[in-house]
Amino acid sequence: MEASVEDIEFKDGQFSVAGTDKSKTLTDISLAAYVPHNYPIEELEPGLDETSFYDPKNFTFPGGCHVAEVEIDKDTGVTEVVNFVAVDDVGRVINPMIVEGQVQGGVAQGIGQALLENAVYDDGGQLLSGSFMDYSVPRANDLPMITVGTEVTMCAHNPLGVKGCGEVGAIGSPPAVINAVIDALKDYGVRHIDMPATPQKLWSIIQSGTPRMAAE
Amino acid sequence: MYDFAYQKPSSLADAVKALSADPDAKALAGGMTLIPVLKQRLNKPSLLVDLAKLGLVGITVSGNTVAIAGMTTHGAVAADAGLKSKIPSLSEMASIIGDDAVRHRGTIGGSLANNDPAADYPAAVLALNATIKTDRRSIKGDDFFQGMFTTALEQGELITSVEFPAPEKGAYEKFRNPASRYAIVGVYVAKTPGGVRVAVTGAGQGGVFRHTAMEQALTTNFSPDAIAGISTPADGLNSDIHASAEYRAHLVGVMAKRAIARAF
Repeated sequence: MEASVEDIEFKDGQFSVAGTDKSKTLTDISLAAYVPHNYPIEELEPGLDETSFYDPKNFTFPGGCHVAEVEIDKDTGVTEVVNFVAVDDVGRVINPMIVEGQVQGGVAQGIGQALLENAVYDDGGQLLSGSFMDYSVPRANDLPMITVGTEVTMCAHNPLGVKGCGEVGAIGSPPAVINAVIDALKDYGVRHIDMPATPQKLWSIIQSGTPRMAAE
Repeated sequence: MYDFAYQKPSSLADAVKALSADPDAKALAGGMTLIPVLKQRLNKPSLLVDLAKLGLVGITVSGNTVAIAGMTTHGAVAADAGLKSKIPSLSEMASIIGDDAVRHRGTIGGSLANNDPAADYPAAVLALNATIKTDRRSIKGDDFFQGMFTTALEQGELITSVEFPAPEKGAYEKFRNPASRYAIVGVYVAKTPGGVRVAVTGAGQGGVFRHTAMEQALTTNFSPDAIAGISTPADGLNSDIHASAEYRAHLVGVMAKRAIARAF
């Protein structure tokens, strides 16, 4: 723009020369910075980048509540998750569709962890579930429709008010599912079940105990 | 995968000849078991004889018998209207083998010749009293299965078709391995003109077997109640990380009752 550095003003994404109508947008400058022809390569290195380090005042803490409803087939020990609702407070929601998908994916993983996924080793340390023929990841028909809700409490430690939702789905869902399974089997005196709650494990519990009366 | 030679003959006689001449040759049907086994280097055939060009595809209904050619895929069996009207339980069974991809490659002949102890078709053949036709003879279903991965087939002998007489009614209930979707226990119950037949796959160490105690009880009373008192011994049943022999023994009863209740 044939101007000295001091005369350049930057406002609203535009570089202009003070007192003239000459201006260039940030987009023009960015394009020029990466197009080597017509570039004063002896004076300036091509490229346009800037790095800064942001250290937030504090961490962010998303919170939420997940509720699972399960049905257990007494004959086989198979658990079916028939309903699942996850409500999380991830701060300001910038892209609701991505948040919903992220939570649903996390819940799917959590249900897999609670009911299916099992790294089994023998006494010699050999992995017995070393292929997908034996290691069971959750598939669509292992899952219910997952209802996702959000509550917004703005995070006070960053200007966006966001908290993040990367893992909320996978963190809330395993205890929700296992607690539901334990609740379903409470008449059998069950207070703890190691994940995954496989059909054989639940069948053994159902087999071994006669249901106690609810009043006991 | 190790190196192997490959042939795709266009006549049954040529295929049989190639397979008979070389004890290390293997027949390739849908490849749903053989190809993974080759990829894992668990098998080292000298020659693969691809059966795809032998014209062994199709389903024929004549009278009360349904003949399924050896290279017919599970998907084709599940989709065939004629078969569905005669033996709906067989149609349904084919529709739940493996997954979509497997059903569109895997074949009835390949499944039976392999005789995987957790495969579905062996239960159908035993329960429906099917006959296996080969390039040289007919083999009754009761004589065909001879233990895990072992059949009455001779070296080079190929299944050309399987003939299923239509039962009065039948049903197959499968408790799937949650990962592989193979049968941990699969029970096919059929009320046939020759009597009630109950075939169990997935459970037995020796592969598919008939449950004669249940068959006897069901002969006079074809209802779930009739087998309520029959327990299946856990001796000789498979045990793995998904299901112990005792759990399998229990599941045989559960699947049998459900199949009887749902027979159609």
